[in-house]
Amino acid sequence: MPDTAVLATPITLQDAMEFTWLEADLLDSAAYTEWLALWTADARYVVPIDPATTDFENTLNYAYDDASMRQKRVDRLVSGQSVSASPVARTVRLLSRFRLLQSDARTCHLRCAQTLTEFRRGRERSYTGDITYHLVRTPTGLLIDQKVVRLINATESLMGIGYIL
Amino acid sequence: MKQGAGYPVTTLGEHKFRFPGNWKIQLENTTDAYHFPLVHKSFIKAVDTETGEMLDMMNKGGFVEDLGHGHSVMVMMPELIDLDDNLDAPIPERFQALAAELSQAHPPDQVRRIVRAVGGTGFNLNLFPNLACSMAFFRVLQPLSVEETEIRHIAIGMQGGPPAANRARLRMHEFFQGPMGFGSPDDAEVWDRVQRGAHGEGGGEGGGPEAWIMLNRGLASETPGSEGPRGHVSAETGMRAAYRQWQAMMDA
Repeated sequence: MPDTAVLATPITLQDAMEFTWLEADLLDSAAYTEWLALWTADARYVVPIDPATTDFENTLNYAYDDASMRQKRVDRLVSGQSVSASPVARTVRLLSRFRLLQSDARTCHLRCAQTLTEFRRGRERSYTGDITYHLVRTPTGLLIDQKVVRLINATESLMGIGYIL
Repeated sequence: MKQGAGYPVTTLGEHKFRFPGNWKIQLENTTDAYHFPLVHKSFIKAVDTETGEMLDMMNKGGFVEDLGHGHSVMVMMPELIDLDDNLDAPIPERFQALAAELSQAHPPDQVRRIVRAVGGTGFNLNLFPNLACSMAFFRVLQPLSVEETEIRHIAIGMQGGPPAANRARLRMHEFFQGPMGFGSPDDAEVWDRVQRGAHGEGGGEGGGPEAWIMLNRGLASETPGSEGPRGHVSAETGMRAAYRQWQAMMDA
């Protein structure tokens, strides 16, 4: 099928799944430069507190990162100057239960489950949550326009999370 | 109350997090300036140069004062004790975009007042045993056990105030505070290590229940303040105030 025909068909569940697995793998292998390239210029990475909110801009979140804040977050992880991120926790994250909420030729909304285990300085912890991705198709592939990580215990008190969920 | 810039002061939400350590370790933090350039080096690197210089508080006339009953105040930026002072001072570069946005709906003097309030106060107040107000947020600590403490960082905003101003407050709070902030996790990591050190898990490098914890920094250069002893901004005057009150209550 010619490229133009592919670009005219809706983004498939398979495309979206493979892309989010790539993102998960980049984060777990600390490939932050490649991870930063997965986002659109105006994209937001959000870890909300309030399970119901969709107005993230006017609400207090754990993280509400634009491109500049994502870059700073990465700089912090690799700088060696943050005592909580030196060393960065080892993480393994599993994504499953994928569902396309909406899809057309240009964009899709994907929801999935993530279970993540971290290990650092003799302690193992886990975080479970729903992730909603807004993905956009570009001539060079899919990019993230919004990623929202809703931890199931977001309204409880958490321990320090010195890495990217 | 001047953090409201004329609007009623309200809360904008809170971050809650825990660390595996005794509550008094956190109690020491609020009026302790000298941990800042060390523990929060990565935060200082992440903010703009102007903010970094503002947070370089070691030799700018700041002080810590024992207010009695375990309370203490640390003044980091003396020019920001009263937020209504020197409102004609230039608006900091990092607030220029906010000022421009506010100028669409507010006269220049009100814009200056709101921007000043968004930046927060130049002092931290520690109220024994578990309340504090630091620059732009409240801190409440709750001991859960001898070795576990929960901390709430509550963001302060302007009720009915300009949404852009409250958004700026939210982003500042997210930047430093909470389990995914650029400041709190580094504090929590150090508190965790202090607790471990108190158990002597340093493998013979010190620590343990027999070890002394010295809190005499700046003691010799203290002078009488308006409420109690006043020390250099990097002095442990605030910790001495809190532990003296704790000891008095435990001995009562």
